[in-house]
Amino acid sequence: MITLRAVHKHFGRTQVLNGIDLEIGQGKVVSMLGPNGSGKSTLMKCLLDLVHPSSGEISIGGLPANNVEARKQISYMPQVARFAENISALRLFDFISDLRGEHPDPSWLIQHFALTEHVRKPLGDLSGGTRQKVSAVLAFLFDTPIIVLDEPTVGLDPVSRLKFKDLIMEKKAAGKTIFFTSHIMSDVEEVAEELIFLLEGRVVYQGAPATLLHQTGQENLEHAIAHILKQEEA
Amino acid sequence: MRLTWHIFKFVFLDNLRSIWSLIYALFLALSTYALIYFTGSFTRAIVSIMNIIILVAPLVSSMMMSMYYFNKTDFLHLMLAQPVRRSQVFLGMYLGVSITLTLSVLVGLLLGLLFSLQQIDAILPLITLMVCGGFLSMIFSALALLVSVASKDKLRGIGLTLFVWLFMAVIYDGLILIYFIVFSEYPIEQHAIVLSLLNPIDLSRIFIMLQLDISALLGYSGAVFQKFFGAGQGMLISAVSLVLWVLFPLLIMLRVARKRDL
Amino acid sequence: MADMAFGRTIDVCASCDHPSLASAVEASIDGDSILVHSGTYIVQELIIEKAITILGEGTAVLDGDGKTILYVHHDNVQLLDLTFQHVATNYVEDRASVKCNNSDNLLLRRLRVRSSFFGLLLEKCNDGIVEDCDILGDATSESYLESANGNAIHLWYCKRMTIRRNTVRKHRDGIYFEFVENTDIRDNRSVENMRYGLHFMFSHENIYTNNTFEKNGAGVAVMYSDHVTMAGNRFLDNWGTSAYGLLLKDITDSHLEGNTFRNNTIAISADNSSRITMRNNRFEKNGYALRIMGNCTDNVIVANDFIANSFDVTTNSSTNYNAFDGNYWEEYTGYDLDRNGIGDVPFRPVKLFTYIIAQSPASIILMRSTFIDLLNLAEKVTPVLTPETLVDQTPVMHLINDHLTSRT
Repeated sequence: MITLRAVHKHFGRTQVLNGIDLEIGQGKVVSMLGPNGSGKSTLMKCLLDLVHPSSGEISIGGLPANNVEARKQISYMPQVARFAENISALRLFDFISDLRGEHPDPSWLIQHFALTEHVRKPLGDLSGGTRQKVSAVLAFLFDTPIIVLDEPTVGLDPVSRLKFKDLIMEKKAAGKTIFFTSHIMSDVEEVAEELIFLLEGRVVYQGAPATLLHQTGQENLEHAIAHILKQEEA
Repeated sequence: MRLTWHIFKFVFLDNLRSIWSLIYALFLALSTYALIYFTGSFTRAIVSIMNIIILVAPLVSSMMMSMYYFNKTDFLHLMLAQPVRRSQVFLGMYLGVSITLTLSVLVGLLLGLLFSLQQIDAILPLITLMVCGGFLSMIFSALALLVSVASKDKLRGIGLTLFVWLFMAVIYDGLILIYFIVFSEYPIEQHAIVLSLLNPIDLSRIFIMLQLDISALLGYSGAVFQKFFGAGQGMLISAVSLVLWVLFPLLIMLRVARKRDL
Repeated sequence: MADMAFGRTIDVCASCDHPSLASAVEASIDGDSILVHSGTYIVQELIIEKAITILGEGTAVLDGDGKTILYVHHDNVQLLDLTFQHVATNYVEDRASVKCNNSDNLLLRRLRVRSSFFGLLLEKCNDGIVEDCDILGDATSESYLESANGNAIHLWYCKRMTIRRNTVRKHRDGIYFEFVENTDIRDNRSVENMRYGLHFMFSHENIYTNNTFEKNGAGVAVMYSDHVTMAGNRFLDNWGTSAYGLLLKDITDSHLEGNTFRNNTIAISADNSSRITMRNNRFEKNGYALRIMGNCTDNVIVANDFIANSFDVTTNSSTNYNAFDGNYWEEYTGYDLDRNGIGDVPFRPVKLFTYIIAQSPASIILMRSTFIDLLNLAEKVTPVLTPETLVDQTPVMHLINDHLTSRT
C-alpha cells in the first residue's frame, strides 16, 4: 500500500532521512517509533507530500506521493488540532468534505466521540482534548484505504482513547492500512501489528512487536526500545 | 477553481469573525471620524487619513497575513493532506485573508465617513483613498505571504515582513531622495515617475495627493507629474502597476510554495 | 470743470450736421460737449487738442478698424460712455483705443473697450481719473505670445491719478504702471490676463485698496518701488508654473494689510524687499504662502492667518532678519496651558522639505511621505538647515482675521 525506496532528505547540511526503504502492506496497523529528531515527522510529511524527498521514491497505492490523487487514498489526523478559531466543527467537517468532493455523514462519529454539544461552537472555544476528538472525526470520516495518524491519542481522555482504539480495530477489520506515530507504548502494544523503529533517519527495526521483544529479550516495548537505543550508543 | 473557492470561503469566514477584523475596522472608522471632526479642514483631514491608510494598511496587512500563515501551520497541513493542489490552498488562503483585510479597510473608512457626511466636500479623493487602501491591503498581504513562505521560521518570517514594510514605507523614499539630490542637476522627473511606480505606497500617495493639494506640486516637476498621473494613459499605467504589484508577488509566492518543504 | 457746463453740445450721428466724430471735434472749441448717438463710427487716429467732453448715447461705438482710435493731447478732456473696438496688434507702435499724452485732469468714465491691442494708454498725465471702465481683450491661452497683446490700463510717468472700479480682462497685463506716483487704485477687478493682473515698476507712494486680482497667468508683480500700500485686496487663483499671488521685488517701506491670498501657487514671493509690514492678511490654500528670500530684511509679519497652505513659509537661506509674530498657523500643534490665546511653544513655519525641493524640484513627488515627515520632525526638533530665528514666538491659537472671508 505504501512503499518507500531509498528515501533521503536533508535540510541544508542536516541529513534527516538517510535511505529509508519501507513496505507497508494493505490492512496492516503499523506504528512508527523513534526518539525526537529521528525523522518521524519528516517521514510522515513525505507521505503527505508536505516535504519533498531529496532523493528516492514514495508511492501510495501505486501512485507517486506528489500526485494529487495519492492523497485521495489517505485520511490524515494531525498532531495539534488548531485549525480555525471562529468556525464550528460541523463547518470544518463540511469544508474538508468539500475539498475531498465527498460528503459522508459525520453524525455517527460525532455521537461516538460524544461531541454533539460541541460541534456548533467555534473551534477556538473548545478544550484541547475536545479539539483532538474533532480531529479524530476527520480521520475516520472518509472511506480511504490509508489512515495516517500523528500522535492520535495525546490529550484524549481514557474513554475517548478506548473508543478511538475501537475505531482503529474496526477499520483494520475493514482492510484499511493504518499508519501512526505514538509515544504512548501501551497504545502501540495494544493495536500495532507492526513496528517501525527510526533512528537518525534510518529504519533500525521493522517487524512484529513480539519479534522485537524476543530479539531483545525484554518484557515490554519500553524496555525493548531502551535496549536498542543503548546498543546504538555503544 | 472550485477548491480555491471553498478554501477562500472558509478562511474568509474564519477571519471575518475574528475580533481583530472588527478592531481594525473600528480603529480606521474612529480615526477617520476623529480626524475629520477635529481637523476642521476637509483637505487636511484627508491628508491625515491618507497618511494613516498608506502606513497602517500595509503594516496591518503584512502582520495579519504573516501571523495567519505561521499560526495556522496545522490547518495548512490538514488542507494540504487532502487531494488538493498547493497552489489552490495558498491562493485560497491568500484571498481569504487579504479580502478580509481589504473589507476591513473599506468598511472602516466608509463607517468613519458616514458619521461625518456634512464635512465631506469632495468624493473623488475619498474613492481614490479607498481604492488605494484596498490595493495596499492586497499587495502587502501578497508580499507578506511570499516572504513568510520563503522564510525558514516564524521569527525570520515576521521580521522580514516587517522589514519589507519599513523599506517600502520609509527607507525607499530616503533612497530616492538621495538619488534626487545627487542628480539634481539633471531633469529627472521621468525617473521620479518610474521610481514611484515601483513602490505601491508612493504610487498611492501620489494618486491621492494629486487630487488634494496639487498647488505645491506645481513648478516644472509638478506639471510633469500632473500630466502623467492626471491623464488617461498615466492613470492606466498606474492602475496596471498596482495590479501587477498584487499579481507578481502572488505568482512568485505560489512558485515558492510549490517547491517548499512545509 | 464747471465752465464746461456753459459750452455747446454738438451732436454726432449719421443724419446729424456732423456724421463723423472728426468733423465734430474740428468744429468744437474748449468747453464744448460732443454727443455721439448710437451707431458705429470708424474713427482713426483722431487727435483731440481741446478741452472737450465726448460722451456716448445709447451704444456709441468707435471702431478703429486696426488703428489707434483717439489721441488726447490736451488737459481737461473727458470721455464718457463710449465703446471702443478693433485696434490691431502692432509691433512698431503701441496702438490703443485711447492714447493720452501730457494731458492733465483727464476723466475716462464708463468706457467699454473690446479687441484692442492696448486699452487705455496714458503717458505723462497727472491728476486724472479712470473709472468704471470695462476692458476686455482677446488674449486667450492659445494666443500665448505675450507681445501679441497689450496692457488694458497702461500708465507711464503719471502722478496723482485715480483708477477705480474698472474691470480689465484678457490683456497682457491688466494694470501696468511705470514711474507712476501718488496714485489711488481701488475697487478694480483684474481677471484672466495673460501675464500680470497688476504690474508696476518704479512707482512709489501708491495705494492699492480693495482690488481683486484673479486667475492671471502670473498673478501680480511689483518691482523697484517704495512706500506702496496694499490693503484689502484679493489675490485669487493665480495659478501656474511661475504664478504668484504677489511677487515683490525690490519693494521697500511698504504695507500689506488685510489682503486675502487664496489658491495661489505662491501667495507672496519676496525678493530683496525690506521694511515691509505684512499685517492681518489671510493666506489660504496656497502652495506656498510666503516665500521670503534671504536678501529680505526687517520685514514684519504679524497677525496673519495661515490656513491650509501646503507650505506656510519657505526661504533659501539659513539666516533670517525678519520678524514673525503673533500669527495664526493652522499647522501649529502646540498647546496653550495658560489659556491666554497664545501658544506656549514657539512655531517654526519653515519646513526642511522646502529646502530639499529648492535643491531638487523633482523631490516634490515625495511630499507628505513618511520619510519626509520624519525629516521635517527631526529638523523641527533640532534645526540644522532652517533659520533658527525664523520662528513665531507667540503663535495665536485662533483665527485672527475672521472678517476676511472667502468672497471672490
